Amino acid sequence: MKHRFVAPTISAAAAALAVAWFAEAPTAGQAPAEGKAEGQAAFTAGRLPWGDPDLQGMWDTRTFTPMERAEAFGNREFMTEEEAKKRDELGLTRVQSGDEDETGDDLKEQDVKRYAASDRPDDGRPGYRIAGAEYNAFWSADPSKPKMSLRTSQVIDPPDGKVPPLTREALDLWEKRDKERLHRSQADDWEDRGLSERCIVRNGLPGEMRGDTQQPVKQIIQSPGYVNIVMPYGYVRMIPVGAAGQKPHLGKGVRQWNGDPRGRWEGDTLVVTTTNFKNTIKNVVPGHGGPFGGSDHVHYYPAGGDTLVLTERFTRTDRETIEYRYTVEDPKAFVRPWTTVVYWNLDAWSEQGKQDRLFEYACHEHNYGIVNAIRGARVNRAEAMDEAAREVNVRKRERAAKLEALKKWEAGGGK
Amino acid sequence: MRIKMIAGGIVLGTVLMFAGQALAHHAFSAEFDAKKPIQLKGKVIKMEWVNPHTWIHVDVNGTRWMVEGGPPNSLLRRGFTKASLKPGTEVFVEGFQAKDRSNKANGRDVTFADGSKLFLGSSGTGAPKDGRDPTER
Repeated sequence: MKHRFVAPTISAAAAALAVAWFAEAPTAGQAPAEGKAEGQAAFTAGRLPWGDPDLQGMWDTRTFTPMERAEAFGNREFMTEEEAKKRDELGLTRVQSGDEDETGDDLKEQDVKRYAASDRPDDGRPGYRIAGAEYNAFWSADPSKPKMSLRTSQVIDPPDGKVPPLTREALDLWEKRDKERLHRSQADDWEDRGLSERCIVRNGLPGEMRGDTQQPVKQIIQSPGYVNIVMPYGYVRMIPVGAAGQKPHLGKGVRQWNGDPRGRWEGDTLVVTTTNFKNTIKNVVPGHGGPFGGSDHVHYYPAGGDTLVLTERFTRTDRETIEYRYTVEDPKAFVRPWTTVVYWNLDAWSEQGKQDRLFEYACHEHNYGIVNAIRGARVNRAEAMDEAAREVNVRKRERAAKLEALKKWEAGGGK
Repeated sequence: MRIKMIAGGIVLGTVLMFAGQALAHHAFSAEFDAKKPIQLKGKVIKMEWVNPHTWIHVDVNGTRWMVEGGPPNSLLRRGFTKASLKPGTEVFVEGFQAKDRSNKANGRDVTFADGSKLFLGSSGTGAPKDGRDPTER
């Protein structure tokens, strides 16, 4: 009986959401003036008692804007409302669902379909991966829909909306890392697992500043001299501003997973420059994540992190919105710097008074997962070796694609 | 088949977009065995409300099984509270067994004794019809 009412309820809800979305979509179509945040002129952030602009709140940081722009949009930064509508109809703006009530062989069929429609390289073992369908969506996805922008990509510079190619140095390093990886199983010990599974960092900066569907909210709490960003995966970014923000960065030998940030105010905009990222080359399974999530949760940053300079700009463009912009400069990793923009919105759930802080992310204490993975690899090491090799193979194809991109860039005279 | 059609059209695109983002905390393939689908019927002993994953302990004919679920944050936002799955509740769990063959599994679907699916009745779950309810046909 219940079932009968589910479908209409959902369609109604979906329709309502769609209407809400278009109502909320920023009036786009025109690019903002260079270097100026959209809406900045129309809004002045409130001031805290000690004079700093007020960025505080529970911020929903999810976005459905793709990282890189689809070819069809060319150099267009914004899509039309018509195009946005089409994307919505195609389902590109819905929260991921793994609700298909299927197990076993049926899941394999879904997997094949997913790969067929994917731009990710096939792993050569159709049906083996069931990622995305192994959990029913209710376990992981916030059922609400994030607000949308008409942006065609998060990347706004280079103008083609694509992350620039990796350098040869980065690609060589990648190859070297994977060669080392080949001699190990999926989980010979904990270092064979990614940083997220080891409860160290999730995806690393800056990628982690985008929210995922499980933990979409970041909380900003300010105090005199500091802007603190409570990250949902169990740690706080404490960013010194004012006098503390003027202090020189740590010495080169000191490296941290989330780097060493320094903040300053440019008008209402918080500008954060972060250096001293952890050099990840030494680890067998390296990676602090960076802008890329690697295959199978083994997150790779394309270089060592030692030359990465991350510059973030937070601007409250109206009461409910922060424009979040970052620029990645790392000559060892990318052939040129690049910049992205996304919008953070005040979290609707918190606005309704249902939450005023994040659920404690006490990851280590109940991390049965890492134990299960290591035990699993010991029960059947041959299979764990096989699985690790498969992961490396997938990355081999990813790397080949990156090399092609680099060659194309070089052939075009570095443009 | 009908389910596949629903799922196929709507879900595909987004799954791809969020691949890697919306996945669980760990790599499923390292911990659980995709070739070992499992079905468990038993009574809830307790539920651990912890990150990175909740765990439901289920008594299956005198054997304790641990079933992995999603993180507390998303469950709370689904309207799932500590009262949703009380000790003693009879549940039917479908998922995949741990690779080490211990009595652990991930819980993909959790169904109550009367056949209703956890959360199916709450609004906005996005859950399609699953064909199990005879009144649905």
